Amino acid sequence: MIAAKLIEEVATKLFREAATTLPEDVIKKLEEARRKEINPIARAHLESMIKSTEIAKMKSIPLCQDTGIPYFFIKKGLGIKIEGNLEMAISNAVIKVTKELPLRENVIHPLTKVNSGTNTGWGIPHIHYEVEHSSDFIEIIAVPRGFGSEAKSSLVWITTSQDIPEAITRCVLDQVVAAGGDPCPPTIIGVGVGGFADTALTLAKKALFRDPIGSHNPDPLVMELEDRIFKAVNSTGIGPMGTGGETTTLAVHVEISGSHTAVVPVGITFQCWAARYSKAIIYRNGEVRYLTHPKLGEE
Amino acid sequence: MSKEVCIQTPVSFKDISSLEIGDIVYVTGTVYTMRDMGHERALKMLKNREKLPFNLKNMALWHCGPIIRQKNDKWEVVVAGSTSSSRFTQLTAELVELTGLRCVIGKGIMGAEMVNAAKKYGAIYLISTGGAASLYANSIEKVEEVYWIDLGMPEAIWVMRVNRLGPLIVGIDTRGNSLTDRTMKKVATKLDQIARKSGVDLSKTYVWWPRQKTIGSEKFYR
Repeated sequence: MIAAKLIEEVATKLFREAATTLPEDVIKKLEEARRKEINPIARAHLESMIKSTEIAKMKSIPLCQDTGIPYFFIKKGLGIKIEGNLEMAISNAVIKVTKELPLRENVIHPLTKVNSGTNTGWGIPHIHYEVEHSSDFIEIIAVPRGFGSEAKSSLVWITTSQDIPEAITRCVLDQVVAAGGDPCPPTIIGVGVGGFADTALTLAKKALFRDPIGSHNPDPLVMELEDRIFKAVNSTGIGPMGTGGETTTLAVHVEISGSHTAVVPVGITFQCWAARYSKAIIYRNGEVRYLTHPKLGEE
Repeated sequence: MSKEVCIQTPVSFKDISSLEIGDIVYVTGTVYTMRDMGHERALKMLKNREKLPFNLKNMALWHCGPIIRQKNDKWEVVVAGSTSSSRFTQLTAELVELTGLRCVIGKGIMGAEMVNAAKKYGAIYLISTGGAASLYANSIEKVEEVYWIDLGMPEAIWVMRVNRLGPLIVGIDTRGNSLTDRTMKKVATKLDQIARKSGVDLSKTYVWWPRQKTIGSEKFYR
């Protein structure tokens, strides 16, 4: 039995930390990019990015003013029981961080444009649930999802009469060119292949938060596709913020799912360089492990 | 060779006419934030021949929705950075024409309407680094005023006093040159080679749906 109160406490820490502190592996990728760039404008952007991560972490303030709208991935072991209301716990965590950090109030009614002021309401925070048969814990990933990158997502349908990896490479390349500097490159690119319209895009979003950044899909065919797209995108020269340079993407993560024999949906989405997310595991006995931000365990 | 300069608001044409795309700029003085709903309201008022409650002539407009907190009855900026300016290409261009605004701060691509307005009315577009809001917050001294707070925290017009806000890159200059256009033109010249290397055909339509001109379709680059 895991208490909803504990989940609320963990989710609060995760959501606050996600908004202020980039995971170490992402910062390392940005530093790598800075070492590689010779273009002075690209270097200036990367300098500002890295400096900004340092200031945000030190002062415990949001890294980007678009603290997004809240998305949570929750993976629950089949045998795990929760005492209390999980949705309420997550929602309370968002309300608390929004008020205390503070975050920008971003959630509006989609028709009237009225702002709830709490970053919750009308189904937000969104929680993506998965059940894992064998595990003995709950995994929580907290994502303050900015919309510069979310709003550059696409879904396309590719017929099976053609070479699918080729078609995917072409579509991602086109999307990167069309988006230019808007999704705040260097981005992480998430691609979800197969399944349904909604699951292809969900897979793409899940792919963004693969840990560590730049690690490969274990399937050699998918790994090859990740490399192919990565090379194509980084030879465009779009560069940081779209003003030119070597680094347009930090990593390409592809996930697949079984698909209909006629046509394959491909979801494509970006994560801006400020790849803010935070992940923890709560075990059945109440023990908590913070995976992306281990310091949270010492608080 | 790009230069590094500091400009002070209000800005005259003379202050910015020598700036070229790629130059690095720091802004000092007063800046006004404006996003989607602010543009909508401002343009509606101007087109109805109503006066705006603030004067943008020779001023700097920032495509920014900051995080603000209220402390002892005073507004305080927590962090502030740019939102995607491509949403405002046409809207901000109209504002340049109608208000005499001179300096636009944002991020990403601003299209042809803004390039034309910059050239015709003598304005510039400065590209900031997206996401670097905690860095820019360091150069914000205070909130001088707020208008249209009924639109919500991100959408309100925040009047801020800034000291050396930057580094910002000149993205569009008063001669109508665009840094992102130049970059994307260079990208376009490389596409055939990239396509060959990565084994894709640019003259082919791979996508079945959506049916309109889209990514992965024949005429995408034409």
